[in-house]
Amino acid sequence: MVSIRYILLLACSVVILGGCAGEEYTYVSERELKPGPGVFSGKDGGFTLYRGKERSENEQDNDQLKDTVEQ
Amino acid sequence: MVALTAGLTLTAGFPQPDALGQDLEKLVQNQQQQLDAQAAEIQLLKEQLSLLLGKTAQNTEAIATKADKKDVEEVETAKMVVSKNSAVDVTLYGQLDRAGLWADNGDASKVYFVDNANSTTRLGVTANAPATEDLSIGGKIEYEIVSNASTAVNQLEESTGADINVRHTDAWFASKRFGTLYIGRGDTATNGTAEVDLSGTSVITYSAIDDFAGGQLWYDSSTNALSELTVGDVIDNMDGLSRRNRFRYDTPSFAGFALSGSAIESGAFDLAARYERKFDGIKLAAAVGYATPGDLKSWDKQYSGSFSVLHDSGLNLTVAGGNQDLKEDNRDDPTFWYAKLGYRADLFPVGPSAFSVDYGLFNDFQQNNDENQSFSLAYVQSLKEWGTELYLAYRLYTLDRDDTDFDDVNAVMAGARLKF
Repeated sequence: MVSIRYILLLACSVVILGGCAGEEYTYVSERELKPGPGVFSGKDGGFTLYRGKERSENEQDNDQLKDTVEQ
Repeated sequence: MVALTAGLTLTAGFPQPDALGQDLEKLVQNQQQQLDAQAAEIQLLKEQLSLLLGKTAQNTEAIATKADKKDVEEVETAKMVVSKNSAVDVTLYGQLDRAGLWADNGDASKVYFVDNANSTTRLGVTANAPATEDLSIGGKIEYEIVSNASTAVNQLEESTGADINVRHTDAWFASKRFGTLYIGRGDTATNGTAEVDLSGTSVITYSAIDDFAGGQLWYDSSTNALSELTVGDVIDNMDGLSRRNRFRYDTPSFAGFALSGSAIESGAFDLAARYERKFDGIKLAAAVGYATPGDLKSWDKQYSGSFSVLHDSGLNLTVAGGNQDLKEDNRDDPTFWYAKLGYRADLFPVGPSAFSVDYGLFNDFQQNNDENQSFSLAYVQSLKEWGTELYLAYRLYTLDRDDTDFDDVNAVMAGARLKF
């Protein structure tokens, strides 16, 4: 029986030869947490306990609402 | 005359009836005017209030429409938990994966209520924060919470109790230019190298075929006795060194290639190469790994690999294999081969459907000349909007061992995986 090691090496060589074409993507195992929405968490797929990067945008929205009411 | 005079005298100090009436009338008119003015003022105030409420409702709707309701809700969320570091993201996540398992080992059939070991129930918290344009720092704590694992239940033990196991307590430093360094308990470099799978059915069938019903006991027809040997005892998909306490480094990806290496507890080391690429109409993923287990395992070295290709038509092919060099001299080297042919399609509006048929051959794992073959049929239906997959699969296990006549084990599993 042909050694599995040689087959793996051959597979690697084929992949290397074809490697420079195509476009990138990230493989995610479907046995790990699947990307996409969750039953309870909705679109995010998780419960955001804290989202720092959009905090400043939300603060701006609050200020805008306050200004409009005062008018 | 006197009376008249007295009457006139008495009335002299009081206003005449006509004058009184006029005064009263004037008073009433004045009061009516005041009431009318107040009523007009109240009406004006009402109109102003109505206008103000209308403006407020319009603005709330405008903000909700402008930014997506998610962002409005996140205003409330952000206020519930605060951090001194405004750049950090913290997320709680998890999944439930429960199923019914029917298994027959040639002697007895039973139904079990299990946690699907192909992708166990788990709960975790992950945090990530950008430190610079190039570097982000993160961490993850994840547990699996398993009651009656499908790899544990068998004819003698229908209820195995619950286990809580640490999967990840891991920190990382991820640089776009220099790669990622992991410190803690988590995936070793070779974890997953024998399990690359684009079929869409790996939630119920993949190269670790013992996750389906690996706890089942073989029944030996030659002695009419239930053995102590389980299905999982004679199968191993040689998927590297799993999750361990380690340092791991991954290179950045270049043209789809990335290399990984880890220094692991108990003197173990491993190396892996991964490849992920999309071509016209084809998605390809592959991985190979090499591991030396130190004191962790009974073998010296292990090679494993897998690749999976998915065509736009939905047809897909997955192949995996592995080989171990054992420490014992009088033992044949265990090997395994696995192949799966699958088809993915959008048959129903609720989400994609996936079908597959697979075959696995596992030789010499527990003793020389052992030959374990397995075959399965699987169907997975995604309910995309609900983060849920429903699955149904059948698997057959056979074991050919010298001086025994083990009956085949048949198993059917049906269940659901819900993502929180």
